[in-house]
Amino acid sequence: MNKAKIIRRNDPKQKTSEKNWRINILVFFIFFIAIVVVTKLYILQVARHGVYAALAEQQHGHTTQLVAKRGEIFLQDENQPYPVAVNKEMKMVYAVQREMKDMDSSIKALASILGLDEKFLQEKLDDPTDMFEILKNKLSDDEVKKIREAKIAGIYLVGENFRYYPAAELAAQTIGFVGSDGKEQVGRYGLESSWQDKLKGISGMQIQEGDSRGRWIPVSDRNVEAAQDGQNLILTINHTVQFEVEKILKQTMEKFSADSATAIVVDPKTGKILALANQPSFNPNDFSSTDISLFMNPAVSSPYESGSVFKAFTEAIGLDDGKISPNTTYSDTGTVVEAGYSIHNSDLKANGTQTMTQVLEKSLNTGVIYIEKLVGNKNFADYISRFGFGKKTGIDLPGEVPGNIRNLENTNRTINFFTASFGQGISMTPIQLAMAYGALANKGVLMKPQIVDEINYTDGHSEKIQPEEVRQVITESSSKQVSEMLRAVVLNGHGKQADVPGYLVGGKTGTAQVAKTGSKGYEEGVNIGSFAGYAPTNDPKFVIVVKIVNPKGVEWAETSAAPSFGKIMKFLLEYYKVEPTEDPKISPTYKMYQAENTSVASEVTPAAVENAKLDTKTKDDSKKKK
Amino acid sequence: MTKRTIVIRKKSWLQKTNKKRNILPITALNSSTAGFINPVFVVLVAAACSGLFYVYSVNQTAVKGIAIRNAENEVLLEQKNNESLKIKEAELKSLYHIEDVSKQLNMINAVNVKYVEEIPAVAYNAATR
Repeated sequence: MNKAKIIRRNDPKQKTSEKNWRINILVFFIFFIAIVVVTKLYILQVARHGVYAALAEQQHGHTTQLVAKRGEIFLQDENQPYPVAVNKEMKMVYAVQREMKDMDSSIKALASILGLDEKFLQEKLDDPTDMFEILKNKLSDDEVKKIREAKIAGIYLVGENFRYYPAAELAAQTIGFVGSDGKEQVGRYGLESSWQDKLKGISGMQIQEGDSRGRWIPVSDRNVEAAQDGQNLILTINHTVQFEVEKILKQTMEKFSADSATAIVVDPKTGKILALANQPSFNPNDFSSTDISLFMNPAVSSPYESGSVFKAFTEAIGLDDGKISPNTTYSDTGTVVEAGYSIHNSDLKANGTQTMTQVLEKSLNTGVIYIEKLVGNKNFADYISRFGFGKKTGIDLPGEVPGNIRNLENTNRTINFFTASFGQGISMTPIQLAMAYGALANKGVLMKPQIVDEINYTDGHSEKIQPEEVRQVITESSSKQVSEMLRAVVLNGHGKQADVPGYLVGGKTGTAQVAKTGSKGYEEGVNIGSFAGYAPTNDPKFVIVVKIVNPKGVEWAETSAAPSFGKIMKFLLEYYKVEPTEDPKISPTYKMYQAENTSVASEVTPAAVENAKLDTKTKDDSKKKK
Repeated sequence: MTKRTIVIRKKSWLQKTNKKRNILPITALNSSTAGFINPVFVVLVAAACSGLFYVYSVNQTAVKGIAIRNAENEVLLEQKNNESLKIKEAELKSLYHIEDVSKQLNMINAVNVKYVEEIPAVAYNAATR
């Protein structure tokens, strides 16, 4: 103790400075470390924040796309809408080779269940280093059941969502189908294409942090943007009407070995399309093995020179312009010569004095040329344009074409106006023709064609699409006069086979030549038969256009298109319970329908019924034996 | 002598007293809370109980969670079955399908259909008149 006291007493300053030096070094060291740490933290947290945040996001962030359910499409039906385009989960079968045990027996079993070639399967499953191999998509219920029962090691089933069309070929060109564009499934053709944006919905996103093994961390933040499902569409097309129209078209096609056929049924007051049928059709569930030319919808995409069905418009223009009345007469010499061309009547006859109603009944070319002359070229062209020809109708279907009325641009070329007056030299689509006839039926008002009746949103609310008027083309009185003239055509003219006993049916035939593709003139021996009209003419409820392309063995539409029109109209009037107003016996088709009924009834003999019963019983027995 | 005797008695009394004192539990003798449960013991028991309750409740939650998941899966499965049945119904209601079946059954179109007028049991018209 004493010694220490002595030291302290001897050199106190030296000891203090030594102590301070050590503390200073320590403090400096601590500060240095602190500065290094803070600097590093600054670099990590602030300066390079973006880089590290992105890196962490990449390592831990798991982003999952939430796929929206595609909207479905329905047709009108008696009790509830009928689904024509739905989403269906179908199974896919795949193999994990390294888990498969007895390869040969497994391949044999798979080939038998899936209906695949054994060699094909052998080649597919040949490489054991493959993680997995898809064997077959879109399995049937029976195949799924058999695969499950077989319990083959290394064979798995997984669900896949596909677009499915339960009614197969019904309204196929109108509905379209869904196919891949290389990235995703999108609507191809038909309503699936034109309503793609509304049907597909909006995909969602889920972002969540995961651990090193890719598992979600439950306590981490989760960012979910829910997917919005697509909207459901309820069409104006009626399931039963569409089926019947397709059936009648198919029978007509077979009867006349025609190349194709189209029919449209429209409600003239609203522009709602009740049926839009084309034959031949295709099965959208198997579109990959279908000829691509069948995907087009000829009702909106195939313009043609309609021929004499157009004469109804020339008559309507003449009436509306006040140049003629139904009883106005002219002298038919059988030929009109203009610009070096001779235009004859279709029957090559001179009929003498004829009324405007007779012009329509006998389909006289010289008569409609007479009307066109009275109306004047410019006025005539304006009316044609107001009926909607040369412009798209605006129907909600892809691939619509406007037709061609360019021949009427030059009013000095009178020959073009003469030919246009009976439907040659200008082209139109069946939908344009149907809507224009709708204007004749609907007190002169042209309506926009409507194919979607209602849109159902995912939140439960629905939007009813309202009919849209385009314009008043002719007056109501002109419309009434034309309707009476069209009725006269069915009663006394070329449209007799289109009549329905008990009802006021009006319409006009048209047998058009087919223009050559790539050169001037018309194809030899090829024609397009059309019939357009409506009923009842005093209160029109249905407008129908029937177009039969290249029917064999018939020269005129009177025999090809008119009977189909009559059958469709008869069905519609009965199906919608329209009350008959006329004496059925005065109808030109009364005897025909009576004879048909009798012939069908005569087939139903007691012996035929017994035979049918026996056949059914035999089939049932054979099923039971199986 | 008398004094000595007294001392001995005192000693024997003390011994007796000490014997009595030895009978009593040491803790009771030393503790200031003699007669009450030790709080440490209470805390331990409470902790054990709450631990058990926590395990039980977590277990119950897990069980309920599994039950809910199973129910959700079942609902999902039923929904899928329902959708599948709706599609099947649409297939069966397809008029092309019905026509095919009717052909297989050798059925023919009805001719000369006669509609029977339904006469209501109550004479509504008579009542209004």
